[in-house]
Amino acid sequence: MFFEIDNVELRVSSEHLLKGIYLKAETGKITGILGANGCGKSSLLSILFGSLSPDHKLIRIDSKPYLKPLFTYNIVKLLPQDSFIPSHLKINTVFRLFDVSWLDFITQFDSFSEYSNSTVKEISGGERRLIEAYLVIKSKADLILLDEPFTHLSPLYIEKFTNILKQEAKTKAIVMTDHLYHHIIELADDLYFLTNGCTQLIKDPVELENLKYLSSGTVS
Amino acid sequence: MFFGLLLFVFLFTKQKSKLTFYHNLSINTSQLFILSFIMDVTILAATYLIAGYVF
Repeated sequence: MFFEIDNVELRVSSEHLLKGIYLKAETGKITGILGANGCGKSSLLSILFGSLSPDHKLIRIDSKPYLKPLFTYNIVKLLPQDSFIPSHLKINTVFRLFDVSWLDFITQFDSFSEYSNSTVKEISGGERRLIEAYLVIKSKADLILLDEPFTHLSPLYIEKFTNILKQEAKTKAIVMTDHLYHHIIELADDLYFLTNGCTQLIKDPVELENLKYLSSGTVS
Repeated sequence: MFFGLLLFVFLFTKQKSKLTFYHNLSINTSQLFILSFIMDVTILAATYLIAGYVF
């Protein structure tokens, strides 16, 4: 199964934020997006998800155009940058709503076992981020969109989450963006760089130095 | 109209980002509005019945 988005035109205050986008995500692959702050990475993920309507866009799945927001087809999940779970909900309720096993989660993250009956607002920001990232990646969906999934996570959680991500990527298409570029470069099968509203496929991470995203000598 | 008003405030404030939670559960904004409207009418009807019974 492959997902393509192109012909995206998004204007913010009459300026074109996105204008020359082509991005392809495939089942079994992780697609990374890198770019400077404010270049439109989050907007692109929201457009793909369907929660942001641009002036123009074309989304195709296996070459067939999909005109309604993708989330209405129940095939895509999005982890946004900010916390998205209502804070009054109980953690076990949220796992039930997302149809994700709480037992599997606490098997991998045993320090969370005491939180089963806690509400989301009772846990720390990092723990909340981990739960949200885990729920999205483990949900039954064909396409997973992750906007800065490593933000607020401790190194140990990042390591465990990365392993889960690799496992889930075998059966899902994953598109992710993060400023922790070394994780993206390491994980991504395909890498895009977003600048001046256009995407560019990166064949060699050294190109990121030439594009002034990384300082000279960082990856070479 | 309370829930309709609440949804209006929800949609036009920074809480709009919380809609991602419902979108991830494949509930779109129109369905959310209809649900809030049904809840609104149910509570109004219940209030009318209880008030009629008490007074």
